[in-house]
Amino acid sequence: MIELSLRALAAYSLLAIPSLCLIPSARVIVGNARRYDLGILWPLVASALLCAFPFDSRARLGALVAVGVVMALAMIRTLVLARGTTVQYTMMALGAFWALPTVVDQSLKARGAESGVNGFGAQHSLVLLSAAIMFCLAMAFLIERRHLDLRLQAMTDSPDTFAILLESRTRVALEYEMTTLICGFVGGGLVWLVANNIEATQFRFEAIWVLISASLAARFRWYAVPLAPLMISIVRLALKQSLPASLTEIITYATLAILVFCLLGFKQRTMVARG
Amino acid sequence: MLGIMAACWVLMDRSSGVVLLESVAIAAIVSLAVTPSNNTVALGLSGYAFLLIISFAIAPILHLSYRKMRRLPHGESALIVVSFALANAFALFFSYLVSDSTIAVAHGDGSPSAKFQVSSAILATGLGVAGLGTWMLSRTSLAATIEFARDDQAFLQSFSPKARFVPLIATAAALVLLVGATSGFVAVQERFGVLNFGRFFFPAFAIALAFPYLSPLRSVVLGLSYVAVVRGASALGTESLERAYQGVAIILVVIVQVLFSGVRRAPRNVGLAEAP
Repeated sequence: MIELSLRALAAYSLLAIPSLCLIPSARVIVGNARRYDLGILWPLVASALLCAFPFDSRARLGALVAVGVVMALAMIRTLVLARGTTVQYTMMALGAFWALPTVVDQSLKARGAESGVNGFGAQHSLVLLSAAIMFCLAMAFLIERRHLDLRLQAMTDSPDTFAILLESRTRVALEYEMTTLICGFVGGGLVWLVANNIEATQFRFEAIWVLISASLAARFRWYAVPLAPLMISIVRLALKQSLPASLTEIITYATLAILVFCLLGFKQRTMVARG
Repeated sequence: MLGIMAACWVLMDRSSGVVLLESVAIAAIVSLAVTPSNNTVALGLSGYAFLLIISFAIAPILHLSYRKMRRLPHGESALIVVSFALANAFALFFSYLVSDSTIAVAHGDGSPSAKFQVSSAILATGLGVAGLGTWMLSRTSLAATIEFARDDQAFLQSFSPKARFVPLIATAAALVLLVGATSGFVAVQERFGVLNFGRFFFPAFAIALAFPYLSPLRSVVLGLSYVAVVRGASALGTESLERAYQGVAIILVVIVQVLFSGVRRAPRNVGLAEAP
């Protein structure tokens, strides 16, 4: 019985930890910057893979390449956030989302049997989950303290005025991207510690669930932010246990579409009510 | 893909028509892809007709929803995500429906000369349809009329009540183009003996997304270049890497757009005029 509970807790932690770690920055970009960042998972995946492999000479080269790719992508994201439109940012994130599973798959194939390296395992799931919640709260508090959400909103609403009167758009974009990188790298380490085996399929739909959690938590204050991923992860675990994988995939995409529809409808009603 | 591009241009609504077509395209393509091709297929013509009817029934609902969404501030970003999610959900759903059926699609002879002949014929037909459609629409200014009809409520008040059917007529025309395009796609796939829907889906989606920023001619050029680059890159690596190449190609397109246009393009301010 205890072993069963531990396994369930480990499965739940594996679903909840990525969302918990990434949601502080994800909710800002969805709620205030009105961009749908499906490519947010890259730093987390790179970090998890770096932790999972033994640091021999071959892995060292792979680690350098992975860090280089993530940093290059971070620079592109900063450029598009600072200079591009919301549509362009969403498209760019979509491209990153589409490419990620194949890249992970190729990376794991190149490693062969060495890919299944785990950290602490199921026994420490509760500790790791608590650590993820604390990290989520700390990052959400820091973001609110530095007014990153409000600055991103102002930059999105009137980019030219923001640049002339307030501050550089690049600086705000860079600050957001640094926050995302920190969230991703910490999240990747925690995922490695709780996962029994890192697989490409594990990250296939993760970004969608992060986006769904972030959409729900977009209007929360910092102390309520962890509630959204914790609740969504319960739903995910139930779906995973009760339905076949193909149906779960359909439900994932359908939930995303319906949620974005509903959110927009809510925003429209709010706009009319304020007017 | 060329047929879809022509259809997108018919509904040149800058976003809603494009994403609508994309979602409907997925449903139509998959429904055509499960068309019985020999005696061993479990699904009959009734199943095909059923799926096609569903696809066409969804179209007006999506059409109206997208029109409302587009008018919201920054609604276009949401449109991209919604259309992408719906398209994938459609594709997965239809795949799930036919997963239990033993569909044998590999009945083409697969010889190189046959492949070349069929693909050349299909490419020529696609180019012809796209070119003819673009030319005809330019001559009749139908796209401009549709754009005007959707963006300006005064259009419906100024003209006869029948004017409200203009976008629907355009939708029907686009769907006809779509059916032609998807039939050609299935014909090619059957000849090649492979039914790989995923390889077709994302390039079409990417090009459809690029439409709001480009003229029709440039879109066609971009589409052909995109396919050539991705196919060339695939030839260098394994087929499974194609998805990665497609993702990287999208990122590159966005970088080019940002560097050469950026936020200097005047915002459209959709929705502000309708705010109370």
